[in-house]
Amino acid sequence: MADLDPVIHQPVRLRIMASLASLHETESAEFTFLRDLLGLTDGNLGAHVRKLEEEGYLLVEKTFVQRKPRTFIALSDKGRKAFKKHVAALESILGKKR
Amino acid sequence: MEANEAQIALDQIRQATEQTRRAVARSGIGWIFIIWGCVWFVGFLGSQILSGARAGVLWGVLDILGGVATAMVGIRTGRRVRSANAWRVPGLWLALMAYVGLLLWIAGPMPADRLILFITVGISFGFVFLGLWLAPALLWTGMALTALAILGWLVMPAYLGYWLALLGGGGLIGLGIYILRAWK
Repeated sequence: MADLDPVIHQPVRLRIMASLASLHETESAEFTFLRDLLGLTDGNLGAHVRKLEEEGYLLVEKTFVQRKPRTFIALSDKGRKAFKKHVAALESILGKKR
Repeated sequence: MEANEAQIALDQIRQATEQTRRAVARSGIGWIFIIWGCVWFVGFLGSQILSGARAGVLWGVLDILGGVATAMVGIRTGRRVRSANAWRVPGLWLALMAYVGLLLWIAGPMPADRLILFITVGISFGFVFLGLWLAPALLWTGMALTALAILGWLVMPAYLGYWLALLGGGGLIGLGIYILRAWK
């Protein structure tokens, strides 16, 4: 049986994880960039980011850029590994091998 | 989970991945290609038309303008996606320019066409290096520029400046416009 991650499997969280996983390991995305990219509201994205952060999958850093508050979000090592495992599980359901 | 549900989830992952990569690339790489395409276009035309000293001054001014414009694009992109390695990219270009300058000094005086080729291949190596490190599009750009420069030098060395202005500079501008228009 495929080892799917129930936290990541929720569609919005899946897209958030996929989006962040496509960045380089040293990169992090700004909250509003992610919000606009995925077509979400502030509240919706915030709630899913909190859930993923609680799980240890995301690193959230609040900072100031040119005196304006900014929130940068990145995948943690744990999150990157969990996402890869989740994708492998999905592929195994389809019988794909990489 | 059924196979069709897994397929839908994988499709969502693929779409989100492509959207993100394109959004990042659109905000940065497209404009950087256009900026340096303009620098190449004007610079190589200058190398072809002006005397050696005047062409050198022109290249110096263009490099400074290109560097400032690239930094502005980098700052704008950094507001959306931040990289812990952001300083390494300008660092690489500075190191490359310093080493190309050093190699030119070691090599001593050389004909104008060979000098243009030397600088072009040096810059193309920067694109190849960044491509291997960050984005495949830069790898192919660097290899194409190298091939174009060598081909132009072998076929028409007397017109190498025009060749690189049109195909190298024009190509970079075209690629930048394509990225900005197509990667939406």
